[in-house]
Amino acid sequence: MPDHNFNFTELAMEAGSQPPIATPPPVGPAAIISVPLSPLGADSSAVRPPAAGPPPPPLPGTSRRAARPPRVLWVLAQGARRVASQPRLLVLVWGLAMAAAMAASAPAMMMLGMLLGKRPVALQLARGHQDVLLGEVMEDHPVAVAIIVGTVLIAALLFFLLHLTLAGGLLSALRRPGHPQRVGPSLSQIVARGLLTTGAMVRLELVFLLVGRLPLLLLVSGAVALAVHSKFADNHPLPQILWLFGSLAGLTLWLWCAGTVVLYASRLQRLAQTAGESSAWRALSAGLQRTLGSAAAIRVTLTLGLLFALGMLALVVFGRVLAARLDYALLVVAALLVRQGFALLRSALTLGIMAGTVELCDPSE
Amino acid sequence: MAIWAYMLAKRTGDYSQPDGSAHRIRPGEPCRRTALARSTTAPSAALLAVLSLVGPPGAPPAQAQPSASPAAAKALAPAVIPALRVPGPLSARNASYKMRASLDAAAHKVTAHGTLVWRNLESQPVDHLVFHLYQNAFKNFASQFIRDSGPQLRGTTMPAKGWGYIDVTGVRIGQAELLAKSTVVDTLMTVPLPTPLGPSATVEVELDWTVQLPKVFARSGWADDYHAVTQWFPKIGVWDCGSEGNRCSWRAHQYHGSTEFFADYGVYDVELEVPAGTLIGATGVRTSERTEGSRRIERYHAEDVADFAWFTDPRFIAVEQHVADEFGGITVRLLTRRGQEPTIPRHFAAVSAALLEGERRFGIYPYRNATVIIPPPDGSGSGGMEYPTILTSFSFPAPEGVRVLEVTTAHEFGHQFLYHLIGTDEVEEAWLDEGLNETFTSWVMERMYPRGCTVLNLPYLCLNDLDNDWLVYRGTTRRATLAMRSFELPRGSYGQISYNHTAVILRTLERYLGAARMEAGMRTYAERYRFRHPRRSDFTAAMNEGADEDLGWFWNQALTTSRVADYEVLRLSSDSHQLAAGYWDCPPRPLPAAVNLPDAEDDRTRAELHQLWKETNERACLGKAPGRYELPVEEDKPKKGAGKDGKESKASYDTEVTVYRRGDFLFPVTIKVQFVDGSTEYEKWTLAEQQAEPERRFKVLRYLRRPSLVHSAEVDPQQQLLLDEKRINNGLLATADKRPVRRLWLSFEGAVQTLLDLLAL
Repeated sequence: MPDHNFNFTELAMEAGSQPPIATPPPVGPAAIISVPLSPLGADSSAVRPPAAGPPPPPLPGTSRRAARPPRVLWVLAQGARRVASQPRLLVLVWGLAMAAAMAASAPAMMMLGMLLGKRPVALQLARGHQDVLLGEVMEDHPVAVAIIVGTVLIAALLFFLLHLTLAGGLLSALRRPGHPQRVGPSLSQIVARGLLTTGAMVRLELVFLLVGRLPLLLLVSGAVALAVHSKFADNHPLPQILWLFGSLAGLTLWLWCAGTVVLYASRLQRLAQTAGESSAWRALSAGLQRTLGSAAAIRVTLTLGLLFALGMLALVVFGRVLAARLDYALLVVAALLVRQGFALLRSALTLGIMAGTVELCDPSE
Repeated sequence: MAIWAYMLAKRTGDYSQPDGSAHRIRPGEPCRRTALARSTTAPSAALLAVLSLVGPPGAPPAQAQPSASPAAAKALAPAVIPALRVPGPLSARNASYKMRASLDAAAHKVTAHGTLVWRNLESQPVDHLVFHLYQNAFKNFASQFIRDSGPQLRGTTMPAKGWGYIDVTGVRIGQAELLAKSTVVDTLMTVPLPTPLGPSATVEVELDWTVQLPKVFARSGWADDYHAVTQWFPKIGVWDCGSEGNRCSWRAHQYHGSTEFFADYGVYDVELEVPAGTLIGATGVRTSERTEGSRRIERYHAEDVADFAWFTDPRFIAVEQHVADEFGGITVRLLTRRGQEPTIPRHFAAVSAALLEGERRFGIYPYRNATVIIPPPDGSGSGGMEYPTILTSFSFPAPEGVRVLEVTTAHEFGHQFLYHLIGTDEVEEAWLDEGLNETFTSWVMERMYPRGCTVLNLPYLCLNDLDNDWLVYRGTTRRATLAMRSFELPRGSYGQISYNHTAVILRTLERYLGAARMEAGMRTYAERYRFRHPRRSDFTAAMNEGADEDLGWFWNQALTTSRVADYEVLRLSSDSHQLAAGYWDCPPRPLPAAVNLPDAEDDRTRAELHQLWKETNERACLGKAPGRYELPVEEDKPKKGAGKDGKESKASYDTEVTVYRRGDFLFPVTIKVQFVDGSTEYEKWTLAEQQAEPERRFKVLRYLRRPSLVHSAEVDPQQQLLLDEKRINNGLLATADKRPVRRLWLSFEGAVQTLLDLLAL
């Protein structure tokens, strides 16, 4: 299937037009569309190995900096700063998740309303005194449960696609100020940028699934199967078993999140590609080079992955535990605020990791 | 100590006869038994009671002479270490075994020789014996076991090439070799007797056999070095002539996939030979141990038990703990592999709680010890089983809030009381042991975790053992009755009906009777049928007697029908109270008087109707000449909602509540009606009322001229009727309360949002 985004760029290139170097005025989607996905500028170095050729010319307005190994703290600080400077972006991400979750759970609300709205026992259920009645609800209304589960799964799929759709726009919005590919702060610009790059992001996602996610899962599954078949559990004490499987789960989560950082970097490279060199594989290769090409880059990538994993885990667990207490006390609004507060933090964390990756690939100093 | 003396007297009065033999005591035969006991054993009872006062519990076994026949006494060597902590015999001991078994751990084969001393407890002679050869269930796919449940049990599939069998290679009575005359069909072997055996007569049968253990998936077998040697010897069936004593047959069924075992009590003296370095856990107490070359030989002795099981594993470690009770405590030995240490205290805690709860309800656990086996993961098919003084549980790294380890161990220990001390037939009436024991398990778990959440205590999930029973019960309602023979239950129903359904029935009964009467009923049953073989009618009769109430209405529905209970509040409404507009004759004829009113449902309704007539007549006729007048419909209706704040209000309301019996199970229920001003009315829908008109499935409650609107109505507000299939419909609000729904929905929404956020990872 042709990639219309890049066809557009190709047309522009064929016409002999020079890629605009300076940042285009953010006047609207039309203006964005006229910007090639990747000017032959500073970012083109990202897709080439360091020794592949002469260094690209510096961007106008920016001094060419000496190659300096990325520093973890700097990357994190810059990432946080960029997120903090774009609250609208944060609201967009958080709001989309909330809206999607609200929509996905609407059938559940209707079912609960019909079944429990006029039943006194609902109060006990809400207070956590009669959890067993959830079993009655689910057993007696399997079709409704299937609809709810189906809706959630469809919503998850759609949200994932939406996530891919916006990925290009979000990453572009998190570029350092003055970067030619930076878009925003208008949300419409961000969305438009995302829409333009959707096809590329989907292809990259599939490639990464193939070469990144699946091998990791197979590796972990293999390790678990090996441990089970070797009767490791029979021959080792429980703490050792817990340590092994806990470590394995933790390591998997860490690598998964570090992989996400690599994916973000690859997306950035994909966005930077010119029409002629557009390739998901090349973008992935360049992303890997950016994130794992040096000891310092690996350090930053792994740190970002670790922060992502631990942060998300902590936010999910603490959010649930805190909200549960309020839920059982029927402080519905307070529980909602706590939950959404933690959801906002989760969105901020995700954006922060994105911004950190941007900083890793495209340092602002 | 009082219980101690009491039990001694009761025990000695049960079985013994001057010649050391005993008769089976049948239900419906109390007079004969009582007379027998009084005439023959009262002195010894008194003597033992005195001895018990002199010595501590456990000391008396010096006087514990088995009442077996001389032949039995000759065959069974006296134990050095007593197996009981009360003087025996406690049972008829009519099926005693002396065995010697050798395990070839590499071939997973047991070669054994044994002597059975069996005595006819019935009043009719018997001309053949029937033995169970349980391991033949795993010989091929034609066995009853495999045809019943497929090559799997409880979710564990039979491993490839995991066959097992038992070959009996010798059967002798005296000089008569009977193997050739014996017939084996699947898991049963019939051995003709050279001469019929009369009442109280004893026969001594010499047996030789070999067992090829299957790979473990159904209770017994091997998994690498681990061996669960259970149901491994030719076990004699139960010769039973019924309650009338004239319908004799062997109660010995083929080994069915779901149901378990049934046997008479006896004394077991068993020598086990295993590879050196192997730990053994077995029924009874170890009386000797030695190592000869590469073989370890241990001898076990058990009294008043109905089975003998043993387990070996060179990788076992043993942990012993003294578990205290009011009778001096017992020794609990736990065998498990390394790695399970963190869960060991949880198993001990469960055993302790089950012991104390069991003794409180059913009397003393008479044995000195108990052994808990934790099979290795690949031997988990042998986990969750009960044998006399030994049980198998399982272990995995469950967090504290996941209490399935405790549930399993408590349940299996509970079987020491329910199936073992009270020897019900696990094949025909599994609910009498599994169901009662499931009920007992829920009591134990409530003892361990009085604050609730006895099975699962996790964020956003709290589940009690009883809740679990109810959920499972709901899945198999209307399928079969408990009275049905257990092995005839359709596949996939045995556990739910025998275990969970029974537990829900009995916990319903407990809430109906109250805890004290329930305990009294269970205690009557336990005391009367300790070391005997009660049946359904015995259980219900004992419960009726203990609870001091004829519960026939309950038993008939719960045990012999598949009726399901379900009560629902169908509708409720409050309307502004209106005078009876229309034409009224003044002065009223007849005068408004309660006696002249048509029969109403109750006095209160009659009074309210009378009041309505009176006030309407006053309004229509006051100050008017005789004649017919029209009383118009009240224009100025009281505003709905008045009185909500509880303040003085002249508004009044008529309320109607309809309660509907959707199910067919009749049960007396209470109906609670709450009004907005906080006042509450309780009504009864009695059993008699429902029985009088069983097809009148509704009851309408009316409340006239109440100062407040109705708030809610609930049927069975105390949740007595756990058998109620649907609990949510038990109550109804006049106005929807949105808070709980909002809270549940938003919690769900939060979970979905978290899921969506995680997609970003």
